[in-house]
Amino acid sequence: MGFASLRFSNYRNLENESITFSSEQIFLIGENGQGKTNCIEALYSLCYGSSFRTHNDRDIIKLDEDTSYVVGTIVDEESSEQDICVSLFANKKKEILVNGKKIHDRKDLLQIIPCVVFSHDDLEFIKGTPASKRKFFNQTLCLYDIYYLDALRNYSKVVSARNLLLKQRKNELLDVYTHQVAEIGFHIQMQRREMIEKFNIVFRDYFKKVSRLPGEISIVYSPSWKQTESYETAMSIMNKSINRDMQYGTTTTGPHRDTFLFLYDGKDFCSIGSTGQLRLLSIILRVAQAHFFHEYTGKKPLLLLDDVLLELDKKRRELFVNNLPEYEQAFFTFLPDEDYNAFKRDTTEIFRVEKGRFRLWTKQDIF
Amino acid sequence: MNSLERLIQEFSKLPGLGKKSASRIAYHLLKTDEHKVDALVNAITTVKKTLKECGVCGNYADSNPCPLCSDPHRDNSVICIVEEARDILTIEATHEYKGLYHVLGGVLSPIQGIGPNELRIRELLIRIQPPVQECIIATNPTVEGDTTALYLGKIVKDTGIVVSRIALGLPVGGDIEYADRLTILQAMKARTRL
Ligand SMILES: [Zn+2]
Repeated sequence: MGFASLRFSNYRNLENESITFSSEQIFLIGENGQGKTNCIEALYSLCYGSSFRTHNDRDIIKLDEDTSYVVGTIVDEESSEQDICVSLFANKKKEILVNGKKIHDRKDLLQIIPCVVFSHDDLEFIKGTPASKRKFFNQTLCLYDIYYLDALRNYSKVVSARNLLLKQRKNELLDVYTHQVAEIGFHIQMQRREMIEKFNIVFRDYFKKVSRLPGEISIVYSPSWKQTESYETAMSIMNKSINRDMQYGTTTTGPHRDTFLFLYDGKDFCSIGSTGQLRLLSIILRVAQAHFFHEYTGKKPLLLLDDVLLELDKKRRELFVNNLPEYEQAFFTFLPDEDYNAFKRDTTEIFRVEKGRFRLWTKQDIF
Repeated sequence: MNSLERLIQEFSKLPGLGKKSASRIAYHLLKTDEHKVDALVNAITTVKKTLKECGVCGNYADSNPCPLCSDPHRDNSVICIVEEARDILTIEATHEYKGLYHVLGGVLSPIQGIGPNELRIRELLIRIQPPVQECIIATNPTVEGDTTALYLGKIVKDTGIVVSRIALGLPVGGDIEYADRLTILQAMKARTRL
């Protein structure tokens, strides 16, 4: 089912609160600043071990406090329970515990409850830097192939080592690290190429279904190394730019310089789309990510939808909700005056969020 | 700081011991018979006083050169290169390998300031001459271990000696069904012709 309960301590404005859930669809209703998004952020951190809003744990810990935590209990189909706890500290590194045991690799957490979050910042994946585009597609790949994370980590290790050697002009080891960057980088490039091909099929389909725009969309992977058939070709590309690499003291080519383009009828969507259309595209990107994950792993994701429907007009809201993939559990946030009843199911649980407190709405409250 | 706190602090400096296990050991020692504690202290000081690094292979032993290097029954045409001295213990426990060893004392890591000069590579190059005909690289399957193997392969090959790396892959008795993808990938890469 997903999360059966949450317990917060000094987590932003959620000072000392616990909630229990017994539905696969949860609505959190409240004015801004009451704690809806804080709850979504906490759920995300239980799935990923980090926040999607900040890199600084201090931002999350309530002012004048030293520690903060959120504990979530997950229940699966066989009703076996797992506890995940993320503790944050003002003056040391955060701790993540699964069933009371500290985990040392985030990989172990990612596999427990795969999650797709829809957030306001997703617009960056469309119109942001190549780095934010890579972030989205890296996440998409990690969701369906956890070992891709190892490749990314190893790649970043060998690139930093190579950059240091370039800066220190230690040429003795340069060849070896060029070889490693080429070999691991080529593997990453292949993975991205293969993923984009499959992702495009899903993405085009949902673009058609949700956007109601007439044109054809497609994502084009634009790798830094062009025309590589093996790591040897990647290595020869790197060796051609060795002088430039030495001059700048950094590795100037490779998957850490890859980018992705969104083409609409062959034109760059970023330069022709309105802000509203770019926003729409970012939402469809997440819909496709969730479908892609479901299709290629057979597992159902947890969905976190923070104020997404607000961005869409009435018809597209309906299309969006009707085109969501099967999910383990979904959390939606709404403002009190939004027409959330239109999307609710018989089993939906609705919580009223006010000043960091959650109150379950009963039938009497609604009618 | 009292003596108990000091002991806990010293224990928690050891690898793999956190504050909790450090204090558990300290309290355990408080309850232990004095002669048993003496035996432990004795073992620690003796190992530090008598064990020397073998000038040839880098292994720790009571004598220099170590018993492995001075054993006439071992095959002196092949050298197995390992990261740490403790890896020798693991390989020796199999009783399968009869050649010599060479301890690097770590792996290449430019970020941590570890280059070829910080490892026992110069000592290795001195050893690579007849009767040595083959080097087996047994560094760990980490990115650092891979990079080190790549570097060693390059410089040893220049001397005309046969270099190989131990195969990494499926554990014997293991079921392919339960192996993770990375292990299978590595096993595929290191496949052998039948
Ligand atoms: Zn020796």
